[in-house]
Amino acid sequence: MAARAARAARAAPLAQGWSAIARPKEQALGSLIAPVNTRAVRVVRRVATSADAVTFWLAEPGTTLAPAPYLPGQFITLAVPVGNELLYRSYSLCGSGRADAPWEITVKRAGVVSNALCERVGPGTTLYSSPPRGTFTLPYRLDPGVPLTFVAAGSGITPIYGMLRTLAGLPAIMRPPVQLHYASRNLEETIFGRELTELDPRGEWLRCWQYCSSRGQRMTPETVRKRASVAAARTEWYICAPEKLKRDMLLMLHDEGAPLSRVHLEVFASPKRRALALSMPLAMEFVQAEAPSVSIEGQRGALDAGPDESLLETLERHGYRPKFGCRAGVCGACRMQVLCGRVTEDCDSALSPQERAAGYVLGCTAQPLGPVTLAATCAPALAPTGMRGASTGTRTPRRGGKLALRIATLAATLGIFCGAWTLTGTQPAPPTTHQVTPVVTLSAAPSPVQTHDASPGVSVGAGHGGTVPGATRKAQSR
Amino acid sequence: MPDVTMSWEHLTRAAALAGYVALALGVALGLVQSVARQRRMRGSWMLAEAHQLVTLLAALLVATHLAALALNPLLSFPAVSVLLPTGDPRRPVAHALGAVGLYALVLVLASSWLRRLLPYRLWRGLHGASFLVFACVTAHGILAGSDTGVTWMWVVYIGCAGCAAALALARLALAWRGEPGKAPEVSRVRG
Repeated sequence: MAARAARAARAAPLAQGWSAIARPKEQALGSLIAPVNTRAVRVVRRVATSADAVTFWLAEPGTTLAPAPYLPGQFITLAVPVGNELLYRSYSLCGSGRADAPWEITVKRAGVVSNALCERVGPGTTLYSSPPRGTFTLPYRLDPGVPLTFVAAGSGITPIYGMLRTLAGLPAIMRPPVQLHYASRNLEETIFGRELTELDPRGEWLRCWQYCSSRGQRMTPETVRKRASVAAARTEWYICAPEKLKRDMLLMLHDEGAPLSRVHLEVFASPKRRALALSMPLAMEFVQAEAPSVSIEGQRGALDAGPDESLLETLERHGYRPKFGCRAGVCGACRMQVLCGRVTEDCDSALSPQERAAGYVLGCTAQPLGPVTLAATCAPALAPTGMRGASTGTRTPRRGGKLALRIATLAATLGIFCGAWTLTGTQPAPPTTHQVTPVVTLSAAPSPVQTHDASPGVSVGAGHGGTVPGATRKAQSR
Repeated sequence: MPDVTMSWEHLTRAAALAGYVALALGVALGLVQSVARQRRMRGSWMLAEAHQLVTLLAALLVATHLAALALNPLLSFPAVSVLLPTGDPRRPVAHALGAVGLYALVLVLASSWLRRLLPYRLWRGLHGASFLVFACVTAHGILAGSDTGVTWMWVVYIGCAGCAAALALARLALAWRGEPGKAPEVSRVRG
C-alpha cells in the first residue's frame, strides 16, 4: 500500500508540467510543456542492438521495476520534446512481460525522434510515456496444438521478440511450435540477430527463417507459405511488416482460407499512407473532397481541418484536449462518435461492431472528408476554452474578445487611414513631367483628346492616369 | 471654399496609401499565421480574426480609392476605365497591374467567403493569389503613385514589401526543410 501511495504521489504532478516533475539532478530530455496522459519513466540502461538500433531499459523512477504491467507485444507512446515541439512516437515493448524488470524498447534510427533518442538519451534520462497499450499480443489461452507463425520486417521484430521471449520461458509441454520469418536489409541491420538464435539453441520449438534483401533474399507471401509446415488455416498469424507486405500476406491468407480471427496485425503508418495503400477510391476522395472541417454538437462554428490532419490533431490544434493513447489507431482511447459527415477510418480494430455501427471512429487515425460533426458526449475530455498545455494550435476566442478585437482592428485601420490622409495632405504630390500645379479649373468646353505637352492643358497630379479625357485642365500660375 | 477636385484627389491618394498598408498588414498576418502553424506553435484566434478583418478593410479602402477615382470630376475617369486593364492608354502597364491586382483581390476574397464550398486544395491555390495581389499593387503604386517620388513613400514601400517578402521566405524555408504537418507521416512509425 505504501509503495502504491508513493507511486501515486509521484504520478500526481505529471499533469502539471514537464519541468515540475524533473528533479534538479535529473537529466531530462528538454523541458517544454506538459505531456498529457503520460507518466515519468527513467532510462536505466542502453545497449546498441544493431548498427542503427538502440535498446533502452525504462523503469519506474527510483526503482528497477516496470513502470506498469504489460503484455508482450504491447507498445508505449513516448512524448519527446524536439526543438520547440512535443512529438509523440510509439515503440513496441520487447520484454517478456515481467513486472519486476524494466520495460525494454528498441529504437531504430528512422526519423527526428528516433535520432534524438539514440543520440541524447542515456541512463538517468527521464522520459514521459503512455501506459502500455495494444492488442498485438499472444492468445489469451495458448493451445500447444496450434502453431504460431510470426512475420516481421525490420523493426517489426520488436513486439515479436517480446512474445518469443515469453514463449521461451514456458514449459515445453505448454509451448506450441513457432515459425519466425524475419526480413531485414542486411545482417548488420538485423535487430536481435544473436538473441533470436539464443532463444532456442537446440531448435526444439522455434524455426527461424531470415531474409536479407542485400543478398537477394526477399520475403514474399509465397515464400512464407511454401516454408510454413502447417496449413495456413490452422495457424495463428502475427504480422508486423510494411503495408504492402501486410496487404499481400492478408490476400494470401484469405486465399488459403485462414480465418481473420487468427490473423493479428500490427499497424504502423500514417492514415494517409494507409489509405493510399489500401484503397485507390479512398485516395481519390482525399483529393476531391470538400474542405474538411470539424463541428461539435451543440457548439457554434466549425474548426478548419488541415489536409493531413486527423480528428484528434484538428481538435488539439484548436485548443481542445481530447483523450488519446497510442496515436496509432490501436488503443481506442481516442474514440469519437461521428454524427454527420464522412471520415477515413481503416484502422478500427479497437472498436467493437456495436461501436462502429453507432458511428464511433478513432480520432487519431480518422481524417475528415468534408464537414464532420462530432457528438459532444462522445469525448467528455473535450475542454473547449482556455487551453494550456501540450496542444498546439489556435485558442478558441473568449466571450466578448472577438468584438473587442474587431473594434481594435477597425480603430487601427482608421488610424492608418488618418495617417495616410495626413501624409498625403501635408506632402504635396511631386509634379510630373507635364504638370503645373497651383490652381486648377475646369474649362467649360472639354476637349475630346488630352494632350500631354507643357501647354495649359495638363495632367493632374492624382497619379492615376492623370489624363482628363473629357475635360481639359488649365493651369494658371498665381 | 475647399477645392472639391483636390479633396477627391486627396481621398484617392489617402485611400490608396492606407489600402496598401492594410493589405501588407493582412498579408503579413496571414504569413505569420501560416508560419506558426507550420512550426506547430500555438497560434491565437486573434491572429486569424485580425487577418480576415484587416484584409476586408484593405479591400474597402481599395474600393474607396477606385470610387474616388471614378467620382473625381476633374479626372472624369469612367468606372469602366477604372475597372478595365486597358482603361488608361497613357500608363497602360501601371493601370493594367492595378486592374489585375484588383481582380486577384476579388478572387481571393470571394474564395475565402466560399471556402466551405470549395475543395481545400482549390481554396489554398486561390489564396496563393494574394501574393500576386500584393506584387501587382506594389508595382502599380510605384509606377502610378503620385507620391512615389517622396522619401516617406519609399519607406512605406520598402517596409511593407520587405516585411511581406521576409515572412514569405521564412514560410518557404520551413516548407523546404519539411518541418510542417509532415509529422504525422513519421509519427506512427514504430521503432
